Amino acid sequence: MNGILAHELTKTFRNRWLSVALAIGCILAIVAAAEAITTVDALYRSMSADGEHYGLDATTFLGLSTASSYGNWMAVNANAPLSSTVFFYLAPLLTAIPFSWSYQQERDSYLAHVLLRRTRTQAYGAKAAASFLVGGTVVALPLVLNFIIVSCFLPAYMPQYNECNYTGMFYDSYFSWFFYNAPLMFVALFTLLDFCLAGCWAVLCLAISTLFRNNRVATLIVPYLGLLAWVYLVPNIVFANVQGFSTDLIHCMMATHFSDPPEPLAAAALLVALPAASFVLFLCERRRDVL
Amino acid sequence: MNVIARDITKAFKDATVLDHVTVQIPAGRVTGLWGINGSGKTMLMRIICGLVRPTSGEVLFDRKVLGRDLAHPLSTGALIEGPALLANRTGFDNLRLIGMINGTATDRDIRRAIAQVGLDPNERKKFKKYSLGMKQRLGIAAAVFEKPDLVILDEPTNALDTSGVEMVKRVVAAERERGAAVLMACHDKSVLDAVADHVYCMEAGRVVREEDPR
Amino acid sequence: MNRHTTTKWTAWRTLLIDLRLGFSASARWYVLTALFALCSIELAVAGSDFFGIEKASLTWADHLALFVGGCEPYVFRQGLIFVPPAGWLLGLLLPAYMTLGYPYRDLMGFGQHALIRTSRASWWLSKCAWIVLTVIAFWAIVVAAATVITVLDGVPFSLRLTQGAFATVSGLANVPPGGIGSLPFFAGVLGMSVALCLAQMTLAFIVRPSVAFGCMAALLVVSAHTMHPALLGNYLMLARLGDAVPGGVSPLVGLGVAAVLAPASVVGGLFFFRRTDLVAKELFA
Repeated sequence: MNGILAHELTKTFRNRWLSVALAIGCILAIVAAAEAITTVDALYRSMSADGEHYGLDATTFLGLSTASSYGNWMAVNANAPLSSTVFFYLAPLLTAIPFSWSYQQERDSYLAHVLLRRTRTQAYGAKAAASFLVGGTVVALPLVLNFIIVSCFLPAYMPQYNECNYTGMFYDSYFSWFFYNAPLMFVALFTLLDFCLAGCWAVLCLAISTLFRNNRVATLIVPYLGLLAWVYLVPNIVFANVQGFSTDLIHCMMATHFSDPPEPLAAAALLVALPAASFVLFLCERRRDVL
Repeated sequence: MNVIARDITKAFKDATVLDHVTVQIPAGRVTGLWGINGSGKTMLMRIICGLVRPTSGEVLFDRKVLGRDLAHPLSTGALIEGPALLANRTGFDNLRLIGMINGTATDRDIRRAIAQVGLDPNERKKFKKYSLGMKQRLGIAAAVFEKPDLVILDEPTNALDTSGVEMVKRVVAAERERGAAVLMACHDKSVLDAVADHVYCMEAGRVVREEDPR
Repeated sequence: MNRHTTTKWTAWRTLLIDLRLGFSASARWYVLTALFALCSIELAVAGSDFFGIEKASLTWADHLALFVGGCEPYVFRQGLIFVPPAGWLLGLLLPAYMTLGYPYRDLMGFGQHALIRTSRASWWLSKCAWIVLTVIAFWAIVVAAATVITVLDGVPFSLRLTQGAFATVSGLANVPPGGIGSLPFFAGVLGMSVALCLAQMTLAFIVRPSVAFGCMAALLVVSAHTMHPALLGNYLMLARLGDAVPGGVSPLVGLGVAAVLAPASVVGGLFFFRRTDLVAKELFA
C-alpha cells in the first residue's frame, strides 16, 4: 500500500492547483488578520481618545477576549472580518480544487497503469487518502497562518467567559471549555477538526466525481451547490420550528455562530456521514468497467 | 508466466463485443491479435488487464483466476488505446511515478527503457508537448520498463514512422528473449507476421482463424 | 444544384447548434431551477408569518422579488458574525453554473468542428447569445414558479412591490402604502444577471472556469455583506433596492452598469479569444 500511497501523494502535493488553492486561502487569511488587527487598533484609539483605559490595566474593560489573538483568530472571528466569512464560504470549493478532479481525469486513461499494479480498493483508497490530506491542508494551513499573524500583533489575553456575547463562544460551542481554559489547545483542536471536515469533504467531492463523465466543472461546483442547498433548505424545512443547530459543513467549520450555535453532534455526524457517502459511491464505482 | 483468456464473452445492452473468445499467451512467445477496427481486440486486452469484467469466461494467470484468486493482473505492463500519461510531467517523471507503485524499477531501468524506444531519458519537455510519435514511444516504454511477465501492446505502431515500427519489432523481440509473454494487437498484418509466433484473427468479436507466421 | 456543395456555417447556424446542444446539457438544471424556485419562494412566503405579514397581502411581484430577497447589509457588532443569505446565493449561483461549463467544453470538443468552418468571432458571439438566452430562460422559469405560487395563494397579479415583501428581508425598508413599481427592479436583476454571466464566461476563458465561478461566489458574498453601488451583487437583491431602502442602490444605475459590463465582456472576451492558441489544454476546470 505504501507504494500506491506515495504515488498518489506525489501527484497531489506536486500539483500547481494545490498552490493556487493555498494561495487563495492564505491571502484571505492574511486579509482577515489585517482586518481584525485594524479593528482592534481602531477600537483602542477610540477608547484612548475618550480617555478610557483598556487591556489588563482596565478594571471595567470587557474586551479582553475580543482584543486577544484567540478571539481574533479567523475561526472565532470576534471582530467579524469579512474575509473570514469569504474564506469559510469558499473553503468547500478550495478543498476540491487541488485533487478532486483527478479520478475523473485519469479514469479513461492513466488509471489503467494503476489498476494493472494494484487492486481497485487500494487504488481508490490511496486516492481518497491523498485527497483527504490535501483537502485538509488547504483549510488548515491558512488557519494556522492567520493565527500566527494575529498573535504577532495582538496580545494573548485569556478569553473571559463573561464576554461570551462579544465573542460568540457560548457554553455549548465546540471546545468552549478549551477556549476559556486552554485557548492554545482550542486553536490546535479546532484546526484539527477543520482539517478533518475539509478532508472528508474533499474525499466526498472525489467520490461524487465518479458520477460525472468528462465534466470537471461539474465535479468541482455541483457538490458546492449541493452544500449551499443544504445550508439553505435544511434549517428552513427540517428545523423550522426549533432553535436549531447548524448541520452544514460551512458552519461546522466556524467556531462561532450567533443564531444557530454549532452542535458538536452535527460535526461528529458529518465526520461519519461524509466518508460513509464517499464509501458508497466508491463501492458502486468499483464494479464499473474502466473503458 | 502463462496467461489464458478462456471463453470470454462481453455483452453490452445493444451489442456483443466478444463472443466466446479463447486466447493463450504463453511465456517467451509473442501472441498477435489481428483484426479490423471494432473486431474486439482492445476489449479483450482490457479484460485481460482486469479493467473490464467479462460477461462470462475467465482470465487465468498461471492457473489463478483474475477476479477470484487475483485482484489484479500479475506483473503486467500495458499500452492500451494510446499512451495515457500525465500531461504536466516529463517522460522520466511519468515512468518514475508509475514505478513508485510497485517499487521494483530503478531509475536505471527507466532510463534504459526510455532509451530503448528511441527517446532521450534526460528530456525536460513535458508530456503534453510531445509529438504523437513521441507519446506513443513513451507509452511503449511505460509498458516494458518494469520488466513485467506479461506485456500487452495495443496498436503500438500507431503514429510511428518506419524507424518507429522497427523499434517496436526490436522491443517485442527483446521482451520475448527475456521470457515475457507478449500480446500484441495490430491491424497491420505485416508487422504481426514479422514478430508474432502465433496470431489470432478476430472478426466481429470472434476468433475466426489462427496462424503461425514464424 | 450541386448536392455536394459544402453547407456554409454561419454564426446563426452555430447558435442553433449551441441552443440544441447547450439545452440538452442543461435540461435537468432547468428542472432543478423550477423546483428550487418553487421551494424558495414558498419558504419566503411562509416565513413572512414570522414578521407579521399576511400572505394575502403579498402580490405576484412580491413573490417574484422574494426569490432574490437577500438580507440587510451587515452592521458590525462584536460576537455577531456575518452570515450570507444562502438561498439568495444559491439562486444566483445556479445560472452562473448553468452558463459556465458548456462554452468551455464545447471549445475542447464538438465546437472545434465549428471553429474550422466559421470564424472565431462567430463562435464567440454564438456562445454569448447562448448565455443570454440561457439566463433569460432561467428567469422565465423563476417567473413561472412565482406565477404558480401566486395562483395557488390566490393573491393579486400586481406589479407593485409591497411593504410585506421588504419586511421579510429588511427592517430598514419604507414602502409607501400603494407599493412601488417592480419593473425597473426586475429589469435590473435580469440585466445584471446576464452581464455577470457574460463576464464570468470571459474570465473562464482567460483563467479557468472554476476560478471564474469562485470570483462570482466571492463577489456575491461581499455584496451581501456591504451595501455599495460598486458591489454588483447589490443590484440583484430586493433588500438593497434604493426605492425602498435608505442608502440602497438604484435599479436604473444597475441597468446602466449591466449595459456597459455586458458588451465590455463580449468585446474583451472576443479580443482575447481571437488571439489565443487553441491547443488541447490540460482538461482541468
